[in-house]
Amino acid sequence: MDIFKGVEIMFFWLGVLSTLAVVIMVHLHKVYGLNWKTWITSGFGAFFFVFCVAWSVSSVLEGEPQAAALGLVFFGSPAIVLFLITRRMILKKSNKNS
Amino acid sequence: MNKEKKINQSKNVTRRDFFKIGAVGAALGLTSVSKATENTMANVIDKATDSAVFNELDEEPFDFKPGFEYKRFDEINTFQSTGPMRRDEKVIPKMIKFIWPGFDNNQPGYRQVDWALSKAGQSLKFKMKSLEGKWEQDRFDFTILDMKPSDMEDDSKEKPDILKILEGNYVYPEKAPFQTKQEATDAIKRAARLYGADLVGITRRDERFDYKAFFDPKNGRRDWNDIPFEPKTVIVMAFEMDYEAMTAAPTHVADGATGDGYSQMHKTSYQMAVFMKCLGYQAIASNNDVGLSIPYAIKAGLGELGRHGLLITYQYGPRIRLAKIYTDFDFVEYDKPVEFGVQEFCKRCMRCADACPANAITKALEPTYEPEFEDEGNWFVNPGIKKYYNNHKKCFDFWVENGNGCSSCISVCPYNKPDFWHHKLVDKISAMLPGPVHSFMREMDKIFGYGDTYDEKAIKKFWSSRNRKYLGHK
Repeated sequence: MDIFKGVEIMFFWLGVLSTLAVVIMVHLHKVYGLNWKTWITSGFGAFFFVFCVAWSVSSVLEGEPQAAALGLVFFGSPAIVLFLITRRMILKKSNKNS
Repeated sequence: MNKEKKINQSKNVTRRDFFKIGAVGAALGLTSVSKATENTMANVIDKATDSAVFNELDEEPFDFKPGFEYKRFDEINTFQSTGPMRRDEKVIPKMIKFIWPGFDNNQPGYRQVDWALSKAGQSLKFKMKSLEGKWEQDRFDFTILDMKPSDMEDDSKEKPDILKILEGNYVYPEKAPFQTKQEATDAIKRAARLYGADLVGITRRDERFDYKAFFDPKNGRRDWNDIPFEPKTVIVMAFEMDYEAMTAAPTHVADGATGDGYSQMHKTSYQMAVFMKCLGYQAIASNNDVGLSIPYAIKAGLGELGRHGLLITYQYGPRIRLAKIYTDFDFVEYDKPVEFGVQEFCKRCMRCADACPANAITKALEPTYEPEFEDEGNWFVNPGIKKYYNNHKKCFDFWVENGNGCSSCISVCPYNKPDFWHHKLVDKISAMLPGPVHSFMREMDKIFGYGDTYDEKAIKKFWSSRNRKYLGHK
């Protein structure tokens, strides 16, 4: 069995990604003071991002490249949209504060 | 004074005490870790969704037509018995073409190498074919057990029991002492798994699903009087067929997976029959003979019936083959039939009906008690039970034209997926949501690229050495 590829290693990296997402969100909260709406958009964005990675990597591992590509489109685009909304909300708030 | 006491106490902790404390600590640690893994969020969610998706039934899952006398099916009407073909002379030349279809080296999926894959896959089935009919189990391999008693040092010695078991209907005279039904059930299922079964269920014998009479071209007509015991239990086993090969349907490559499934059925059912006889109970191996495999598999909790007339299992979808063991052993825990939303999903999906190259699969929204087409010459259709009735003559005509068993309906079925977490997630979501979502799921399945037929890429991928380490390290 390979050591550095396969679904087990994917889940390890998903754990790392999820932890990073939480760390970034806490950091943003400390710096900008996120309100509940921003927490929700960033939380869902992170969820879609992690899910997108999980789906696409799994599809590659099972040998279905089309499913991997479509996974990026279907689950990756909501993640990007939610991250952009979060960014906009943070910028709006920081502009107001300044 | 206090200081002195403390020093004395610390001196009293011997090496043995240290190890004791260490062992207790390790045991506590292990217990808490194992408890923690049991209670992980993933396990809790899995259990909760399982109870929402899987419904074990106490009553039987079959809907017989009220007031209609359901008749037991006769084996002569099955494809294997060639009964329908014998009644229709036009079919016989076609049948010969089907048996020896040949190949075309310019047509991907139908080249000599693809054809060889298909025929060799089935070879064990042909080698062991006699086991299906004779009720006694021929040896197909030659071992030390082939020695005659006269070959042994002591001529007065009786034949070993195992040799007698392998030769015929002999059963080991001492019955295995199982303390509980669960213990016996676990032993049977574990042995079946060892011999190659992927799924195993156990159910009571149900005469409605046994053939009324038997027929095979080699041994002719027989009936239940030819079986030397009264079966009480049926052990049903499912064997996964290769996913990658099946994506190449309807070519010879997919037929290789089907053929290998048949060989696996014959091997494992034979081993299981010997296992039961060694335990001291009568048993016969049954593949497509003796009784109808799908109703038995449903009764044994292996899955549900799909639109295409095949069993859909939760683990592998319809990508399985079935075999059975009839035995008089009944000290077992019987499994219950299970529902996980297949029949609701099949109502709207229809991917198999759309993909069927012979248009043999019905597009009726609801299942019916009898076929909606005229059944020419009783082509293995048995009316009186609610299901989707498909035109098997059309199906067989395509087999002949194609030169193999097609399998397109298996390949395109959305339940046919490799064993990956995201497919199980989709299956569970789909089972918990109402009908219109199923149509959406069907479209998504297509868009995501699953279930293509006549896919040359799938054939190339099957034969490609990419990502395959045949030597283990490379």
